[in-house]
Amino acid sequence: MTRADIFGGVLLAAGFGAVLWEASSFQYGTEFAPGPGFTPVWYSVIGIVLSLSIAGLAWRAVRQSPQRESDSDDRLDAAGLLRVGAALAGMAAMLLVTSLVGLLPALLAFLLYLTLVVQRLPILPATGASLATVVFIYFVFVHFLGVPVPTGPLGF
Amino acid sequence: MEFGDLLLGFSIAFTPTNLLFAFVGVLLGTIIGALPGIGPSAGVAVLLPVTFGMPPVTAMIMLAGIYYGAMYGGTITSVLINTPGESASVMTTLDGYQMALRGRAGAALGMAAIGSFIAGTISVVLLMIAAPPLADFAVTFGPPEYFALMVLGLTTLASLTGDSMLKGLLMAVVGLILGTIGIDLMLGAPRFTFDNVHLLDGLDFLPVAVGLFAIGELLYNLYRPVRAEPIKAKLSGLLPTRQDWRDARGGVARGTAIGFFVGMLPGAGATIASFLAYATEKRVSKRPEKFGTGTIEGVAAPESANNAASTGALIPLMALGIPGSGTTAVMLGALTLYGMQPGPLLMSTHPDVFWGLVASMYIGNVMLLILNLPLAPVFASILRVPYSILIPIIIGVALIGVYSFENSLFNVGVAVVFGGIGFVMRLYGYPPAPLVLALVLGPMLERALRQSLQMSLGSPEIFVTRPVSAVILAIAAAAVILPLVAWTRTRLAARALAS
Repeated sequence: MTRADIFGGVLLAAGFGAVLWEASSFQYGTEFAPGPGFTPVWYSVIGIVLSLSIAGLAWRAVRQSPQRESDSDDRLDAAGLLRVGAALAGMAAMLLVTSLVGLLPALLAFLLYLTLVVQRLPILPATGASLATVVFIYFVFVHFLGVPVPTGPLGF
Repeated sequence: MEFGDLLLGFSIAFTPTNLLFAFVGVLLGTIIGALPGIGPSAGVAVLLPVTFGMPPVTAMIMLAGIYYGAMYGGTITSVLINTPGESASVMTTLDGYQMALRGRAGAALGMAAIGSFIAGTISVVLLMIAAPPLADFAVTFGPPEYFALMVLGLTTLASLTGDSMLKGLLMAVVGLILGTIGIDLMLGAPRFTFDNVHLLDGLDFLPVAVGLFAIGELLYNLYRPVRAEPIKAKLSGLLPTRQDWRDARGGVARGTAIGFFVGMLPGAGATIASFLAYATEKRVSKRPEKFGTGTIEGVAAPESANNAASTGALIPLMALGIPGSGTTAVMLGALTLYGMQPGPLLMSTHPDVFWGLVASMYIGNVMLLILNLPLAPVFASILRVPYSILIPIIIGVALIGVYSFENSLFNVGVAVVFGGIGFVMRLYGYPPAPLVLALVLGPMLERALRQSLQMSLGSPEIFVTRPVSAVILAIAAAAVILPLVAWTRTRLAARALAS
């Protein structure tokens, strides 16, 4: 348990609180049977108890041995986080442009961005892996399995 | 079990198509198992969409092949780069890598393949014997018993996965809440849909599973790249010597027994089985001090156990419709996608699927033995492909696989969101398997709970007055309480020692 677990536990408890708030607007039960709100209410109550338990245990652990916070394992790697954020942003952008350019071109653009910009691979393996992936996907999913993918102005 | 059932199974498994897909499954499974960071859960989830055009029995044969093939493949990375390909091969690293350092990588891989073959084959026989009577017994189960079984599956998986039981339980609760999204099946009221039509049918398990298991794991590898160079070992002498066999045969037998019975328990799975098998082997060994220095029984026992467990885990799935692990949860989802109702009636309504699968597992284990003995060096060469090249390939296939599930970009968005969530969970030690299992079981669990309470006119006593559900719930409670008691006693002892 680390300081991050205190924050995570409180955040999750707040999330479960929001779920409880929303669930309280559902019908809890009828005369003899539970309604749609029954399980969400109880799940969120259990979730709040578990989240706060994690936060509490982590708080105690940090208070008892504060030196653990200096452990290198607990520190976040900013460059690594940037790579992950960039990859997620790339996937989101791919989804946004798919309806304009088609799924396969959007995927190819994303994979080139991922390999060349995020992973900084040399140009040959990066383009090779990206192109090979899209060609494989075209043959397996589009050609062989007949999956209708959104197409762009170029027809694919 | 009747002999005719098995003959039916073999007549199905021996068709050219099913043989081909059993081979494809075990081959892909071996490769997936050999790649560090991509476990069988991710492999089955990513490749599930490829099976959509297939008959259900062929699809299940291929998915099961991936599952138990991954158990074989996980050994390769454990032995050659000291990094388990999947969590069930963690224990193999202890002695397998030491054997490789001493020039006996071939013997370690060979013994693992032979041990896995023996364990896999015996476990299929046990599966064949145990599943039908269990299914017959479970036909008498009502909603309270099903509710109890699902609670047992969730609590054991949550308490045995990851470093913290609380985090596992919490993830199970998150999965249960996600499972309530959509139209309430009993009264028709929308829940947590926020006027989004895509959410009316609920969250599909596939985008969530692909996001958490595959994309989350790949993002973690972007964050902290895998830098593993296989040792330059000559993979000769794959067949064990007479002495190796003498040393390892007890481990194979005990590993098989432990693996099968642990795998059968809802929630326990191959990882726990391999830990227990290794610990048992060390305890019964006449030379326990040698464990960790490259003993062949330290490889044979956990490898036999993880393979036996992957077969044992199919018993609750096929006989009760209750998955006991992340991978079998994905397979349960697959069964429902193929239009089958998982549960005790599956064997009578779809005998072709159950018996075809059983027969294909005999064949698959033979295929794996043949693949893994002469082709071990070929699989080892996969480890020389830089992981950075594999990341875009797997992400690309995962995203299109999710799209092809319902031809929906919304599902791709869900997978991306859960990929991000999976990365954060991985970073802070929150296990994804209980979440996926709870998402799959959630709607069934809720239905069983509400039907039970309807039967008892709202009284929860129904769960403790029916003997089967009372016993199962008591075991589930013990799965949560016993680790807590052990933890409290350890803390009290530590405090007493400090004072």
